[in-house]
Amino acid sequence: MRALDNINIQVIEGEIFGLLGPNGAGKTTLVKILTTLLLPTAGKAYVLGYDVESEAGKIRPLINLVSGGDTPGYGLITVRENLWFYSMLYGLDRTTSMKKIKQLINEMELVEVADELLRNLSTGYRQRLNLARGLINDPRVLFLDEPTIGLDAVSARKVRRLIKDWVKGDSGRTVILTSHYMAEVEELCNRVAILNHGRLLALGTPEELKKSVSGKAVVIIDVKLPENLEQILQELKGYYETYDPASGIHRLRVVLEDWSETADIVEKITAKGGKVLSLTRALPSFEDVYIKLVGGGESV
Amino acid sequence: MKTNLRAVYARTYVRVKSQFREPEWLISDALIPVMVVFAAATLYRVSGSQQIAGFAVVGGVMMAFWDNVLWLMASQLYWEKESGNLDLFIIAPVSKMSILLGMSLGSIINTSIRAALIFLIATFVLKVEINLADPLALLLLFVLTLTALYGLGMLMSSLYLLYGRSVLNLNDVLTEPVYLLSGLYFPTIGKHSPFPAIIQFLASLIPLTFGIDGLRRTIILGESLGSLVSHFAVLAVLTAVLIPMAWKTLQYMENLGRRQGRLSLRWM
Repeated sequence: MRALDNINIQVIEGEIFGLLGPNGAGKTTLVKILTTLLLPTAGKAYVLGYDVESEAGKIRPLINLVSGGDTPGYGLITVRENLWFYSMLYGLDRTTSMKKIKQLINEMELVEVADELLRNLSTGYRQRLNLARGLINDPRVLFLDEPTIGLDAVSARKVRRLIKDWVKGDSGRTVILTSHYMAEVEELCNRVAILNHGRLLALGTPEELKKSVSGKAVVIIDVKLPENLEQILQELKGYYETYDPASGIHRLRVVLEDWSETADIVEKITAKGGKVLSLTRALPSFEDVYIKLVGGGESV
Repeated sequence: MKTNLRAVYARTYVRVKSQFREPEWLISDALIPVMVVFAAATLYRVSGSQQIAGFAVVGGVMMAFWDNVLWLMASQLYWEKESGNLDLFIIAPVSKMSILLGMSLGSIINTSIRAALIFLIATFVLKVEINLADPLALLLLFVLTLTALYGLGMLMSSLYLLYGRSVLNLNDVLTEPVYLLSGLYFPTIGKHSPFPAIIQFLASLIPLTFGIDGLRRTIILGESLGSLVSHFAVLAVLTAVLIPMAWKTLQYMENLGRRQGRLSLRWM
């Protein structure tokens, strides 16, 4: 199976570059190749001008990786000690290390848990520690793989703000971020690549990508669906679905080539026993770009 | 070089500090070897071998090291992989050998404390007669045994790098045969061994075997450096072979893992 197929991307120094795509799109594989964890079976990849295959040793001091959902470090040592441990792996001397740890603890708002054992931290704090750990060597390229996965809205917003602040701090800092969350990518990224099945579907700024659906029709349909829900959904291409269990209402967001297609969709739903409760027009969003390109079928 | 030494120190620190944050493990981990010591010493005594009841004490002490090598060295990289640490070790600009060395040093410090506890409890309760005539021989033998043993631990850790839960089963499979062959329960090399020459030869490939035998001779039988030359030679050869082998294997497995994408595969 090909995880990546003929991808050609150039990331500009100083930007936050987003990799967006569904599960299995190849985002994490690309990050693993660029972080020297995985060798490409064909083609070439360079980080800061160094070949990931033959010059991994030159790349490693200049990068770092933060994977959301992971809790690297050791549960029986404190936040401060964990940061110190990782600073040693980058060869920081004692003075530099202590100064850097103090700065990161302040910047990542970890002051109140700095002397707590890692195992006692909440998910939000752990992720901020993980981010602080990723910045310990002041990397020139920071790879963030789903950095807000599993976080509540407040913690996720805090992490996004910290990422933005860090990049602003120095023009030479670059972030490559993978995410499932469209809003996150739209908020953070200067440019975005949308991947699916290992292929590059689109590349541009969020605004440029949004223009690609500007002539399209977006309709939000509230429906009550019968048992054969899957069958109906399979016939709709390019939709996003949310479900409210209390009311039993499914909200479908569908990108259409033309408004005239609305009637067809309503017919398909009602023919299968579904009941359309409301139809609303919407302005195309970044999420709709994704729906159009990836083909939909995503539940959120 | 400095970065690698810092990595060694940091990994040692984490291991030692973690043990002191949960000292209750020290007691529980010492308990099982102490019970084995009592069982073996009782057997020796009822068969009329009062002096070699002390052999059981040395066996019990070294059992703690073997358990540690299996569960906190060989399979450690599996746990590091599950927590996400392994990815970060791989992308860090340090020799991965320095991480293994730090793990080894931390383990040696922690287990030595446990081993001392086992030794003290067992010798006190069983009233074992100690005939230590050459403390230098004891020290050299102990250091060389641990160097060779943790060299084996580093080699196993490298071999286990790409594997998942199966390593835990492998640990189970290796536990008892090594207890038996290395002489933890009774001497397995030399004139007291019940095994044929070929089994004695195979047993001697385990660093513990000559280590335990030598330690028994120095602590219980009162032998000195001169009579233990063959023990030193075997352990030195094992160290010289195992540590470079661990280094090469680690490099090979890391490259293989990068090619096959197995370094960061979880839940295997």
